[in-house]
Amino acid sequence: MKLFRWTCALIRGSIANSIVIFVIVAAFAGWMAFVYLNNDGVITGVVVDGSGHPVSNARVLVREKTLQLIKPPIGTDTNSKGVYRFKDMKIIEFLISARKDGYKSPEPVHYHLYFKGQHFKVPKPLVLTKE
Amino acid sequence: MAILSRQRRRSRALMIIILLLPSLLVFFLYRGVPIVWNLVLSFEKWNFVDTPKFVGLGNYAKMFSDPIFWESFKNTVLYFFGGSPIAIILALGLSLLVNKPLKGRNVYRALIFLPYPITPVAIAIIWKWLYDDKVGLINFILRSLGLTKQGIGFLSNFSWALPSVIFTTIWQVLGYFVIIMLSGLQTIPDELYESAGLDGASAARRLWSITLPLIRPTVFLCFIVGIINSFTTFDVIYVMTNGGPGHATEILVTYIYKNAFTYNEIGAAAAMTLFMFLFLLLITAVSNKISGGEAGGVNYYE
Amino acid sequence: MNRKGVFRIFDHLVLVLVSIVMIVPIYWVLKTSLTGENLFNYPPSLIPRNPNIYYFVDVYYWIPFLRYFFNSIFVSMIVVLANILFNAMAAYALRFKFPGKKLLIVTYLGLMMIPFQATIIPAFLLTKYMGLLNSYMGLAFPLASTIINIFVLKAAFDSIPGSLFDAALIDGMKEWKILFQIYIPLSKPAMATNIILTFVWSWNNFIWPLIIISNKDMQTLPLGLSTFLSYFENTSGQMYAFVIMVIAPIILVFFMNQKRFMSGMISGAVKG
Repeated sequence: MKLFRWTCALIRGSIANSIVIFVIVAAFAGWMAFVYLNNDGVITGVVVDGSGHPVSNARVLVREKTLQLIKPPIGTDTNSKGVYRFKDMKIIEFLISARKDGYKSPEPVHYHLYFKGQHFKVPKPLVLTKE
Repeated sequence: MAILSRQRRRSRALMIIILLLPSLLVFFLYRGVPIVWNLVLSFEKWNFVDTPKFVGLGNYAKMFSDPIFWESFKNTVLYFFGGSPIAIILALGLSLLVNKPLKGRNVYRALIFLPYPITPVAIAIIWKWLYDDKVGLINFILRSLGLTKQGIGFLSNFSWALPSVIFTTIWQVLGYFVIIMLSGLQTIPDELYESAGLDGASAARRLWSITLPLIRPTVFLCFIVGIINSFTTFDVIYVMTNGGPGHATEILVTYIYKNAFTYNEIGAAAAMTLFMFLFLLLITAVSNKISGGEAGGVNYYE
Repeated sequence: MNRKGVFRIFDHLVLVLVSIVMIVPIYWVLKTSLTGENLFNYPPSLIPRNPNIYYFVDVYYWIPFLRYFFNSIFVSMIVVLANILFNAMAAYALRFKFPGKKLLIVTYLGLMMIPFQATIIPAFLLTKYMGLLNSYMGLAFPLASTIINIFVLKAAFDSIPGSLFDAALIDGMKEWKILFQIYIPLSKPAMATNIILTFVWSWNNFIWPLIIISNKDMQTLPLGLSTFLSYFENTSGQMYAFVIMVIAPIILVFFMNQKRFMSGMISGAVKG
């Protein structure tokens, strides 16, 4: 009880400081909550051909980029709607590319996430052009 | 205070002892013991591992014939004489400015003081980069103004390195000096200026015959803070140059650190530490004497 | 315009110039930590172009940042708490008359003359023999009580009237309780000075962790920063993001109560 009253007095004593500290703590807590709700490590996106139609059964490769080296790629295939979905990707920076026989592979695209395991929807579709 | 009963007196004595004990323990272990221990170590040759060997004054003889020791001593003194007078004059001028009733003077005070509490390691990294000959901001400005074609490697050039380090130190410590000066200026009673104004004394005259004599103790305080800073700065030099190029920015503390923890020459390092400590004591005592003992206790942690 | 006005403009000009010199290095670091743009772009822009927080994210993952941050905070907490308690206790003891008090004060003043840098070798050996290398206790111990703060607090305690002490005594309060219930609550500014000074000293401390910490997990932020510099000399954005992360707490505390901060720093230099 005494501690409570003491804390109240302290807060009243310096309202501006308390607001700043509150904002920082709230921002931090909000960020932690956001991370907690979005760290399923899913990376999704679509692969399309030159005319914008989805490409099924294309191989999508993600290479994690770390400080010194680029790690071996992890791959997955697109489904019939041209959608690929990686799970449990605990990575922060990566290069993503796609390939399929008969198509020309696009240049790997570089993405940087905000935290490891971020649920990420690749904003631009990967474009495979017919050879 | 009423006369205490005997039992009461004894319990109070016990309380005082308990109150003093923790802080005294800290000071005894980390201030008192080290000074004596340093003296003992300075007579020995030791490398942390083998059994210590008594060598008498051998470490001192070696120290006085060590050219790098003399160079670092010279640099320490230069570090002080190059930095402190400039910082003090600048601080005096600036404190006179921010002591005027100018609009926004509190903002100026805060901004000038801002670098002082910042982590010295961070300061060192920032300035190391500003001084860089390729990507440094300072060289960029010099090139843009057409003052230099190629970048100057401020920290890798033998003649630029020490002044550059000194400039960084001035930059950090200036605000602190300004605030000390301000607190000195505020002790001068306004009536003195008013009566001088009535007598028709000019501003320069008032500065010379009222302000300067009255803040002499404050100036001396800055002087002593400067001396101690230059004898105890470690972080900035360790990170910026680590004493290089060659030993152009080596000062006593960095050389002591290297002797002790890089070359494992404990005895030599202890002898230098003692030398540094005695020298510091001597100049502090002398400056105190000159200033009339008014520049008192000083902060030794920064 | 009269002569006075011209002088005033001149004053402002000088002060603005000095303020710029003080602020630009810090601003430049902040800008680079957000853009990674390191004068390779010519001419460099004054305002951050495409700011992002990726460099901060990288620092967070490249080094055990949370660990270092925790170490720094934890050691600073120990130091600040120990200082509040021990210094207040010592200053309170100096309030009483006892034999040898004068000698004690002279000893304090003498010990204050010993700079920490002149004790590093024996202090290291001592810490080693006490088995405190690579430990929080070892990091905090030398800073656990500071003589300057004892004097600052003593000055504050001396200004509390003795009649208050006597009245509390007559009310039947225990003497040691008077310290916590009357003396400490009545000397808040001195306590604030104590907290600010010890926090800054502990947070910025570099030489002591450098000497006694060899375990990577026990590094504090300044030590981590200097190690980072030796590994990643050329990386731009991340290095300066890390610098910002280390100095942000100090700058935040500074701007939150800069008046108190500045007066605290002075009482650290001028005998209280």
